[in-house]
Amino acid sequence: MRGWLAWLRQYQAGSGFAGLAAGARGLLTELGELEYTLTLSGAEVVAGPFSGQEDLGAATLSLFARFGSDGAVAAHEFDLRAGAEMGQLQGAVLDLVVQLFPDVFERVGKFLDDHPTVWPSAVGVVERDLQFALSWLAFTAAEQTCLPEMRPEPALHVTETYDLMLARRSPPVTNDADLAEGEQMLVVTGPNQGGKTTFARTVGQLYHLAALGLPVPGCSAVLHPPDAILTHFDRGDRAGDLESRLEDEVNRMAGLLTEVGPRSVVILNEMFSSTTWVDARAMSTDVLRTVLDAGAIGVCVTFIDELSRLDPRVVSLVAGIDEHDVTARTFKVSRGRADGAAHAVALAAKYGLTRDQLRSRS
Amino acid sequence: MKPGLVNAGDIAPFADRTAEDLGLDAVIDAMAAGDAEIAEAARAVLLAVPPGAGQVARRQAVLSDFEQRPELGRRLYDLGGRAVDAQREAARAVFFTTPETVLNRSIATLTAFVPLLRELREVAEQNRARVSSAGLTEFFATVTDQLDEAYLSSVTTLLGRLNMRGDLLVSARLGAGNESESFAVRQPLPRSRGLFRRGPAAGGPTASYKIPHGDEAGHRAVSSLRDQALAGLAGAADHSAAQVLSFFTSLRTDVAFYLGCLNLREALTARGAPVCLPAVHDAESGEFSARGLYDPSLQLRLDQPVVGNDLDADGMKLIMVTGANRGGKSTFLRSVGLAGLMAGAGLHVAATSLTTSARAGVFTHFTQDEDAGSKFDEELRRMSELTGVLGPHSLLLCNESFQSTNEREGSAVARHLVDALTETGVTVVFVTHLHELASSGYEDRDRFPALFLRADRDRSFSLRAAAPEATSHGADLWNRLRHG
Repeated sequence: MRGWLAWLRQYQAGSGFAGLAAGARGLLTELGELEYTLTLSGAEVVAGPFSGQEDLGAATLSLFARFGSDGAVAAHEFDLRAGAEMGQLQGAVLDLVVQLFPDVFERVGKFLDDHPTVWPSAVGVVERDLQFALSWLAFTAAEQTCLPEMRPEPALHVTETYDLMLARRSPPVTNDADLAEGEQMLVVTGPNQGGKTTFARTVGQLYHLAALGLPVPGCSAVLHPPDAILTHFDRGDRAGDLESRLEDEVNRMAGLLTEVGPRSVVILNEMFSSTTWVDARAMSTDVLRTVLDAGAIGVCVTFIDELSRLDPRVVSLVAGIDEHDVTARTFKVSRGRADGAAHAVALAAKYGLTRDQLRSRS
Repeated sequence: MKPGLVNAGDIAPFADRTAEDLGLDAVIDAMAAGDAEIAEAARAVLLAVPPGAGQVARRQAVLSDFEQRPELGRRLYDLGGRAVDAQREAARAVFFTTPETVLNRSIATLTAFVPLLRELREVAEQNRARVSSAGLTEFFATVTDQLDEAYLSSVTTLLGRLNMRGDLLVSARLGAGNESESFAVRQPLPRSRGLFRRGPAAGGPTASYKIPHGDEAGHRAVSSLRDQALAGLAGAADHSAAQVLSFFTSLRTDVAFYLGCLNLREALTARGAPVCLPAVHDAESGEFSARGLYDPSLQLRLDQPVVGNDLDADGMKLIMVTGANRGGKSTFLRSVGLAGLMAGAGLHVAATSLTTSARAGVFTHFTQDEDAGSKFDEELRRMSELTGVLGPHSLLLCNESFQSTNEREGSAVARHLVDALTETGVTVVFVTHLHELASSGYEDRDRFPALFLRADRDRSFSLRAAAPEATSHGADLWNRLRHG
């Protein structure tokens, strides 16, 4: 690698290249500075040297500049497609310009005769694998990672894991992600901004990185190689048009469900947020049962507390609960019962309308 | 050079919703009095992000000048209209936008503008001493100064030179592929006396190329080259014409707004309803009090004066309105909202007197009748959108918000919202049947100053300061309707 770099530097610094570049730059500047006039009269084009005649376009703009309202008026764009016949005329005009400035063009001709080629032949190789490995090591250098133990059967036992992307910005809050015998789905509820989505993303990352053969974030990890990592995230609010957003979501979800198998990892983040509570509950229940029956494992983030009590195969996790201060955000996700009593306020939380959310917004 | 009589900002977020909830169309219709341009101008000003107190005072002064001299307003409006007509007339004959046609159209437009600019200067000279507002005084001074006779004659001279007949002289440089580009049309130098020389310049060598007779492609190429050469000048002329036109249309739009103000005042006073120019103070002052505040959109539908309300809410961030169904609560809410919009725009307001701090914006959260199924969700979503734009000195009007869930939870959600918003400096006017919300606020009124207004069951449609009650008298109303 070093040799390659040194060779390039040497080539660039060599006197041959420098002379070539300087000569070319000089001539280009000189050509660019040539200014001449053309008089178009009927079928005749007359070229002559420029002698400072007044620019009428500039004069017009400056005379009316006092009406200007800072770019409020768009410039007129003309559609001036030059036909093939233009090439010939431009060539003829160039001949006229050559006649006006014979000495400059004589030097251009000489330069071209002296330097028939520019490029050395060996430029242009990319070391992809090397780049990937190097950047991954640099990327995770500061973080706690471990090589996961891979089991053939579905498994999720990870301690002190975290979201790699968040860890890039600040020291991460770590969580355990664990499914015991007979458990398949972690259903995460709790207030907005409580770390639910981060937790879901973290679990997805674990399997993805493990499948690539890379170390994963955490202290210890037991995982399985998934046949697929299926994710469903809210596409975010596009202005208006709730119907098409729900439609889009239903279509994506239907596609996802046909892919689910016993070794799949399914990450569901706030399904069906663009429909009513009751509808979302019915649809989500259906989705969750399908995933469970297929034997897949995964994480489901939801505002619908009922989902956490759906089935013995479901584990209820609650995000962001601090036993000392219920309004604090801990970003800890731990086993606990979803608190169904705060239905309306939880719903308000979904829209960022609790006192704390509003305060932190301003 | 801008007329600067209004200086309206961009349209405020959720403006359409605010307009619909408050019934602003009736006000705009009265302002327009059948003129669509006035309607458009009025709407743009009323629904713009409101300016500060200083700009409001400036508009109020201009409005007073036009009140004194309505004929001046109509003359300026007409002048702007004639400029628009002149431009349309010049553009009418043009079907292809080649540089040549655009140049000719622009010259025709600018030529037609010259006498209109002169007329405007004459109006300015005549009226300079008769107006007292800063807006009009400055505008007339600028016009007198910038559009003097010397300037107008230099415009006429230049327009004469732009008429490209016959030979076209351009300067050029070599660009990519050594093709000529960077064309600029030049004014030929005066020819030396007694010496006839064809060619672009006096002195220096020339070289010429002539398209052979019968070479059609060659002739097309010369014509393309002519187009390329003219494009820059045509663009400059077109841009200049558009700028002058934009000056005239701004003038017309600005004046249209004031003509609308005069029309509205006339429509309301003709019904015996009072109007006043409000005192709009600095946003920080927190003032908010009114006498005889009424809903102009309701008034415009009726012939008799409607009931007005008094309001004393200086320094209060929360006004909570409770009480009888159909007791005038929504009407009151609209009267507050419209007064906010109109005062902020520099208009008269529908009241005998009004003192208010300048608002950063007026926003509404009204119940939507349709689609009861997803109502609570929908209400939350709409409120969530609003909280993205609400800030210090905004005015938020809530009409029966969060009643689509049960009393306890609706109150809790509303409480969260009202607390957080008033804390950030939003003024909230909340019409509600949520008793828990109203009564908890009432008990806290020593710590969080708030005004509590109640609509009474006497159907007087007037509100008075009173504690909230647990019942909204819906049954009363029902019984009265059923049993007289």
